[in-house]
Amino acid sequence: MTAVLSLDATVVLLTPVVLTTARKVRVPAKPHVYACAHLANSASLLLPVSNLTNLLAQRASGVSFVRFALLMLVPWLVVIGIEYGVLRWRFGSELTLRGRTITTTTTKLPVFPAVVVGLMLVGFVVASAVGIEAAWVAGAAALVLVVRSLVRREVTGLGVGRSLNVPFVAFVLGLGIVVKAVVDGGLGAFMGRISPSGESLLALLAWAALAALLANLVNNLPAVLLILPLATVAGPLAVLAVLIGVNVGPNLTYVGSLATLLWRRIASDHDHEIPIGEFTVLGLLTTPASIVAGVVALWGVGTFVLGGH
Amino acid sequence: MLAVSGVLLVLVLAFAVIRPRGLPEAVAAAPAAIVVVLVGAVSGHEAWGELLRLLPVVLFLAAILVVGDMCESSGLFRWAGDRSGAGVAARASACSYSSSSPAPS
Repeated sequence: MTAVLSLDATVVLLTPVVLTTARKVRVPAKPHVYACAHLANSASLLLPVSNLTNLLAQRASGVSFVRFALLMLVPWLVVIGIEYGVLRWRFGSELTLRGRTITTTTTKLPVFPAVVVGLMLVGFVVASAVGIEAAWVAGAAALVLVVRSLVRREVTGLGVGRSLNVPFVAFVLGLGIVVKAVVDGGLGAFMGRISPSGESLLALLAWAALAALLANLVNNLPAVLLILPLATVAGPLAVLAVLIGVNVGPNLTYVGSLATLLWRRIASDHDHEIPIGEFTVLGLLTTPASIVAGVVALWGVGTFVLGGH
Repeated sequence: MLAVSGVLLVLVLAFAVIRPRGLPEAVAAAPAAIVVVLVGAVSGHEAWGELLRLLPVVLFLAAILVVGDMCESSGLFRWAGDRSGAGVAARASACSYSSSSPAPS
């Protein structure tokens, strides 16, 4: 779901569902809640629309929607595989089922929204091929769903206004300007001196490592804004390696990504505190391995399988 | 000048993490952006250019958040949760480990 609906929406909406479901099925919530956070970050690798960072990068690099997905497919699978493997290994003893019966109430699939989301996804592919901004497609889908929900009185106008989350949009815009000031003030030149060049395997690993380090220091959105101008010069593989770094890297710290911050807040709202030690250890186990494996996969696919534009 | 912008960036990020009194992150970010333009750390022209560059991306974000909320209020994620709940239960019973450890929380 992260791949389609984009990172922040997924975290905000999925975490409470996971916690509630785990309680219903009476399985310890912890491993699944961690999976929520980790995978919300790493699983957002696949599509340009899966994450703000991806969208920024895709537009700057000129890579098409489909080509982006093709290049990221194997890295995405590899990263998710490692995350799943480590979570299973780490929390294996807590995956026992408690209680005798599992009561799952079966709700019906809301067909209309599901269809709209499916069409929206197709729309992203078409829009990218034709050169239309993804925002138009998402806006159209939003409009359709809003009108329907208003008519069916599932939401109020005020509720819709809140969904737009104008304060968060204002935050991103403000952040962009402040970062630009820092870049223009000299950080840009410094980054130019220390950043790698080219798209060899070592260079790609360096791009990803630099991006991950930066993301954990200043959060992934500013990190992308800082590195992107340099990476686009090196080429599309460098840009995608940066994305692997900024999307997977934040699993190491609390502040690495906005989604992680959101997730932590929501989990504690549901009486599920996240001990920082445990979070960090888990991050150390999954993050470096996933990044390296993901970049190697990217390099392999990009250089040998899908070489050339 | 770099020091001023750097400090402001740190403040904006710290505010986003801590969110004192639950205030939105924009409360720090918007004034900070105005300050860096006023002190000349970034020209008004460049700042405006940055806004235009980010606009399609943030408009996409706003739209996708709305899509997510509308799906939520129509029950799409509850359905997905129920489906994956059944999946979780099936997987958990298929790979049962020792049940001696008490379940946390």
